[in-house]
Amino acid sequence: MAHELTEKLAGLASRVNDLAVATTGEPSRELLALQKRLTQQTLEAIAQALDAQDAAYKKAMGALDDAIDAIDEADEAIEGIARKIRIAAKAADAVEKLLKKLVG
Amino acid sequence: MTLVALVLVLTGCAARVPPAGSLDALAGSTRAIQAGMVEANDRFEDLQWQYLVFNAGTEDLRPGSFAIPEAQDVLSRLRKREAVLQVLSSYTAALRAFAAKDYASEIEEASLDLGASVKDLAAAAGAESEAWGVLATVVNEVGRGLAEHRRQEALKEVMARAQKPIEALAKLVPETNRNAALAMDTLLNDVLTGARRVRPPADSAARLAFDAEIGRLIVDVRAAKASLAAVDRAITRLPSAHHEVRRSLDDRKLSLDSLETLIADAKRINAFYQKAK
Repeated sequence: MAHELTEKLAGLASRVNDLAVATTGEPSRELLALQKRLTQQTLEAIAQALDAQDAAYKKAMGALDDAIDAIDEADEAIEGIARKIRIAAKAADAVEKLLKKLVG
Repeated sequence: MTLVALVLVLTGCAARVPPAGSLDALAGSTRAIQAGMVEANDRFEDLQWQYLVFNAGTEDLRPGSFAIPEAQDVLSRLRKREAVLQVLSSYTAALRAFAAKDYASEIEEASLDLGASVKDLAAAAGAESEAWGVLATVVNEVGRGLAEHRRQEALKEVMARAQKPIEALAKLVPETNRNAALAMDTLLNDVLTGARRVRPPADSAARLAFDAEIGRLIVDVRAAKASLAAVDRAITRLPSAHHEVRRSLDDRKLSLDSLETLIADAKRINAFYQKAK
């Protein structure tokens, strides 16, 4: 609906421009002034149509940000496997030291 | 027995390494989509500049001259979309990096460390240390299997979660681009109206220079619109390609037709982009 409006406005501005080119004198100047107004109104309507999409874009961007966070979390969880193995190795080292102390 | 079964199950998963190639292609395509959009916006900026110059009119030049009123500022709104496509591009890059990351070496190193510690411990306890040495191999295999299993599951879950926002973008971006193309037509028409008014006389050097500049602007607008059309085609295909790559995590024999079409579309965007440079 919004796009239909902007398209019609842009089409009107273009036709007024064609008409201005085909005429001379005062009517041409009036048509050019009208074209200028229509151009500004078209840009305003397009800007408004883009603003109307903002919430949907933000929602999509937020969901993709969450997906990126989830990748980081999964990465940390998998890196945790090597970390846990290293902790087990440290525990074995500690027990070994204790055993040596007890035996010695 | 249970340990042997676990090793078999998890090492079985380890063999299913993630499809880094297809994720690489997905990441490359989203990068091309983003680059195409930025390229079109850069040309929009040049066009808007000409529009502002032709509309400076007879007013005195002031620091505030050549500024477009906020309500008519289509360009700044289009630039905001670039940030969204940057996030899309970052998402596919993160997927790709996650799929290609070498967890195995880290786990192998930690397992060897554990193996050495356990061997020393067994020797200190007076047990048969060689038998304990096998533990490092088992831990390494189980650890790697577990890592691949978790990576596979995480990829599937994350991609399922991202499917909807990607589908939303596939609808939003072409709508944005239709508006961008319309704004370009509107600005160009206005610039041409101004250009007709001040075009230097025929057969003059000034005329040639003037026409060359306006001609370049017309060609640039045409290229920007073609670039946006290529972006539209690519982003429309992105959801099915993304879904297809996710499905291929479970079925490696799945044909990746949508991804192949997306790659071809992304190459077309790149071609426009390269031409412009």
